[in-house]
Amino acid sequence: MGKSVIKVENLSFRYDQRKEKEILSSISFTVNEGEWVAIVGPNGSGKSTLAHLLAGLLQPESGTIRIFGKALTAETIWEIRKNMGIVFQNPDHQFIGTTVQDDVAFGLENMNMSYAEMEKRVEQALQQVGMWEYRHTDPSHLSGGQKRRVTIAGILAINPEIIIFDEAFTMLDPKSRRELFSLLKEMQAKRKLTMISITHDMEEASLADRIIVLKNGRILNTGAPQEVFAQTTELAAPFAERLRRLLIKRGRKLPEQYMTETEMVEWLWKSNLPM
Amino acid sequence: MNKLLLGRYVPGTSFLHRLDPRAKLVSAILFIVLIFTAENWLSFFILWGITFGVMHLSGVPSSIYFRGIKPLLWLIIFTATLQMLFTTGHRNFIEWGLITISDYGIQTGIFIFFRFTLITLLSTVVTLTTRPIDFTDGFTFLLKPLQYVKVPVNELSMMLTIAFRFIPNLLDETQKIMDAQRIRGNEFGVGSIFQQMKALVPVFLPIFVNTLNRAEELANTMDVRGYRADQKRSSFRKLHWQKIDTLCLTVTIAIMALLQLLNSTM
Ligand SMILES: Nc1ncnc2c1ncn2[C@@H]1O[C@H](COP(=O)(O)OP(=O)(O)O)[C@@H](O)[C@H]1O
Ligand SMILES: [Mg+2]
Repeated sequence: MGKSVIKVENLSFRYDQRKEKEILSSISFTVNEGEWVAIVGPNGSGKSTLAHLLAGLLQPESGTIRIFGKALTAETIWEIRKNMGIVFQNPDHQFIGTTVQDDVAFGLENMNMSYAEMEKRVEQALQQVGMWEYRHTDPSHLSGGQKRRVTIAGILAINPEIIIFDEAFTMLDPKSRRELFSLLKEMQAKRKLTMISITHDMEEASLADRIIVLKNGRILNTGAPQEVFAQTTELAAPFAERLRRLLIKRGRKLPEQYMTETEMVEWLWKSNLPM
Repeated sequence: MNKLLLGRYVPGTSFLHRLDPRAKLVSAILFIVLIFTAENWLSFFILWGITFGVMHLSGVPSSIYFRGIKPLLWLIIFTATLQMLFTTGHRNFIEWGLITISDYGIQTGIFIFFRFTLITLLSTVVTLTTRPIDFTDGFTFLLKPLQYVKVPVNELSMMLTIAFRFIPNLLDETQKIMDAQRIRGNEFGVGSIFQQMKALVPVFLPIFVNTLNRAEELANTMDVRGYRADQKRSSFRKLHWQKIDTLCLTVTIAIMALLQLLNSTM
């Protein structure tokens, strides 16, 4: 393996300094250039918090984060962000543009890129995620999975060296998920794209080169997918997914694809609405 | 369906929809100046004609316009009536304490009514036919010169863009929360004012919380996607100035000159 692109050492974090319990306690790991690392773990184990820390949106309580060999500080953060993309967990509040293509261009505008170059990149990124026909649509009118693909296009357009996905693929239909995975695999091989994917989906985790299992803010286990699956019994489907399967078994009419917790809640309360 | 029309956009393909927002904004501003400076019946007659003309051109049914100005109509009538009651002129028809109704007062009252109604209708034409984002782009372009006196035009423009983006979401959310409350047996718009206000508390609280959360998530996204207010950024959206835009401005200026001529000869 090549040089390390992300190096986390003894990272600890609490949202509330008055509470004793740490959300992340003394975590250390490295991610090498061109590596795909999956981070798995139960709800509330601190995965999204870790993503926010890596993005420089939260300050560690102690420990260091080094990206491209540079310590993550207020001075280095903007340089680092030019080469790092993050897809956050919630697909709804990540749109700035009023059309799909405007939104994909947002990151490019921030790089002060020329119009001709932006035009090329926006089209390419939207083609890659299969959303080119929707370029003039208002993102808020899209389905959960489509929103996700647009967000991912916005990241692909800036052509970063690192991408962090926080449960980004769970909402996609199986076909676009497979297409995206093969695209990412290709980018990984061709130009040494480094990826961290936070996920509940064991299928997705199994595609990674390495899995890190997080529990209660600590690293429980790490290793190649097969090793980790064999050793760790805690890995089960997410709650909303288990509920959905259970309801279908009981004969309720639910959508055929994966639902996020928000979608599930939405469905649940509407299911008793007098029509 | 929310009743507030001010600032709403109705999609369409009319001539007015296709105009460059800069042409539309500048023409609208010039017309508003004209409406304010009009002093005689003939000028108002022409301005009414033009306003009805552009309303027709917008392809939006006039019922929508009248629904839009209805909430403002009472305010306009009230202002006009005050003028009518307290202005003295050559011939006073009624004098009763402070109140005088005169020929001049009646005319001023009617002119004020005309002015406010025309301005409301005309600005409604602009917002109904211009996408908020185009409006923002046009507005930003026109304010560009102010950058030289240190006005943060680009930041203002970003703020407008985001505000316009949030409004529909906010309305949707309000509707959703009200539905959710209705299922729980909460009734809106019934009972005393106090009861009605109380019924709204469980609606506004979640909206407030959601809005704060959303603002934070949006700020995070902007951050990680490299948005820095103090850095130069390029623009993916482009305004296209076409022949019809030049034509539109020329016609506006011609009408201005014509009315000026009428005013000076009468
Ligand atoms: N903004 C926040 N403020 C306070 N506590 C938070 C915040 N975000 C998450 N937490 C708490 O931190 C813990 C870890 O959350 P999170 O990182 O979202 O876990 P995961 O993504 O693994 O589900 C949870 O107990 C959660 O309640
Ligand atoms: Mg999470």
